[in-house]
Amino acid sequence: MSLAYSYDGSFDGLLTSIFEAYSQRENPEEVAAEGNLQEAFGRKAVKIRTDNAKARRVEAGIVKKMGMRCYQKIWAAFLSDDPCKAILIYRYARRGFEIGRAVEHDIAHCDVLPIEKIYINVMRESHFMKEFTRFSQVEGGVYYAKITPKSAVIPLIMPHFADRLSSQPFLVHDDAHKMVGVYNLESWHIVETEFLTVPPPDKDELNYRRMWKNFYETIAIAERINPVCRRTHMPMRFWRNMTEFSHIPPDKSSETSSIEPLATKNQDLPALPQKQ
Amino acid sequence: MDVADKLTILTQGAKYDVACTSSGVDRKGEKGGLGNSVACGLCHSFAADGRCISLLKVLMTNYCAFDCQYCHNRSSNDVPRATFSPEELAEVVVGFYRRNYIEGLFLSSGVLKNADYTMERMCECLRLLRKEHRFNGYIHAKAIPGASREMIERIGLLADRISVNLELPSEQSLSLLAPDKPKASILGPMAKIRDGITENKHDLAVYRSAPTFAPAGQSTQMIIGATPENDYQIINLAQNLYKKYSLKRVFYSAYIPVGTNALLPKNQPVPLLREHRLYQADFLLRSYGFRADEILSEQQPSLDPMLDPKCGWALRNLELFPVEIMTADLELLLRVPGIGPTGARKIMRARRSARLNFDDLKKLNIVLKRAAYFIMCSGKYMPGIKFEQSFIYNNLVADTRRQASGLSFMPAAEQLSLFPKPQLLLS
Repeated sequence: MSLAYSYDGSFDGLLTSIFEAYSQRENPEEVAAEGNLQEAFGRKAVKIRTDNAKARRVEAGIVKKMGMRCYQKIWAAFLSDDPCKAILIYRYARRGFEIGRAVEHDIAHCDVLPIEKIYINVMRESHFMKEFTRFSQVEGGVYYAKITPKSAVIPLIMPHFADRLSSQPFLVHDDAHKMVGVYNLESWHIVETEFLTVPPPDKDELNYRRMWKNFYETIAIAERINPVCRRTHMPMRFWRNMTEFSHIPPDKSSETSSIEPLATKNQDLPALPQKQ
Repeated sequence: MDVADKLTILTQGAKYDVACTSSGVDRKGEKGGLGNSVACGLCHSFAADGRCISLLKVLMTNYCAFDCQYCHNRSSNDVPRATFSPEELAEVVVGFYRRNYIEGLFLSSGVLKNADYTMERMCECLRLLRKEHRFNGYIHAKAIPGASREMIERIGLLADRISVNLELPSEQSLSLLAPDKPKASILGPMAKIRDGITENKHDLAVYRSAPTFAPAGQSTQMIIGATPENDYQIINLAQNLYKKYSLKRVFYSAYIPVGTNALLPKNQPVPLLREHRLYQADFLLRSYGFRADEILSEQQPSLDPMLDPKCGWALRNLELFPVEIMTADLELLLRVPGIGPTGARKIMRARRSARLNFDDLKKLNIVLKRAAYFIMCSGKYMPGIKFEQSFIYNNLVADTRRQASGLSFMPAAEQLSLFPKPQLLLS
């Protein structure tokens, strides 16, 4: 009888699933988060209870058997939105425990290649977010950015921004995954939230947006216009969150009136960091 | 005039500069400072012409004492003029950087009074950024032709990359179109920058805390299509620049008619395809281990518009092919059209643990469109491939045409003729 595991959707839950598969001497044909598991005829579904101690053992095992780079690869692949990621990671881990460090180079193998691809996609998405994220200064001096990436890349981009913009408090709001990365001048952490209200933009802010948009439009050379090339490098799905494509009231005198706030819905901001 | 207007005018003047790369330096941020630098470079936006916007590309001033005919900012051109004060510009850079609009600053300038006076002002702006705002982001500064050794040294310690524009590919053209810029005034600063970097490497090896001098190296650019030099001369020049001046990059800029001088071409289409082919040849020089005389020769001085230079070379040297994927070394893999440094390394990695076939290569995202004609997997050709020069040439050219449909700068398809021109244009 074939077998399916369902776990609670956390990374530790997935690692526990790997642990159980080995300790029960089972080989599930499907591993999926609880909501995602489809019932199949003649298949036994087993619910895995997340156990952090077991997860740590698997983690240590992966690092020891396959090396740190492979562990990081698995961890990053888990950030993907791919609905099959759990079973693919499970198969990758099995292959890795079988052949050890060689798994890093075994990229043409059918259990290794999918993770390799998902990993590249996640890293590409995080690179895009480092490039195309746009911050706005809102009242109170905090910088706010909204992103809607295809993978939950906040843990990958927060170290970059915290290092780069270390002297300003900022929020990176992933609206697609309902996560907010918060940096408070000391350290960064992640808050999960459904809604987020953001104060209206600072007065200077509109000025800077206008200048940037102006710069963006001026820098293009009319004789070389090439929309395909632009879309290839900067897919249109990013445009909606970017300042250069947003509407900014052109009249400089009406700065304070009738500016719609940046944010989406109402409710409280999670612990807004104060500028020192 | 407020800062926003100045920014527009000075962007207008700077937009014809090509380089906008921010790669080559890895520098961590510091607490209380602003910014860091990543070696791979980040492009923060792409303009409507498809060129990346990584740095805030502006001029310090577009007043210019020189009258170079190919330049938008020449003194005889009737355009609005403006000058940034160092404080204003530094403020804009910091404001943009904090919003993640840009990776840093690309500062160039028209010549105000003389070269050193202009450089002085540029240095002041960079000093403000680095010391007052503690800005650690990327800075690319142009050295003004004819600048003194002392100014080069000062700006080298502040900027990540310095460049001197070569402007035109030969001394003759330069003296005709840019009489204020003798060759020596361009190559002089270039040599100084090179020496500065070499000295600094030595200093850094001896004293760890020595200040870095232009850690991302130097680059240059030249205008293509305004003057009669051919591709062979241009890539030879580029090769010499890489060798003798250890440049990181040479940029090519298709001439866009901004001048009215009788010596300049008029009404010709912007030679974008030629520029593209030159970049391809340039990459072969830098990251594929090619020499200029392998790509072109006296007898064949221009790059084939229908075929990229690597395919052209491969067709002229068919005796080296087909390459066996399982055993070829990196150098040979890099010579296969369609396989680049990433693909070659991927193949080297994957073949350590498995015997690769064409399907595996596809799975590894190796593009076989061009490569298929030149490789074997475990002694087998790709099905349907004939290893013949004319067969390969016709297929590759057909690909170019297919790709070209809809692209304005590619040669259009032609009506078939009963008396076709000879198809093989190879040597």
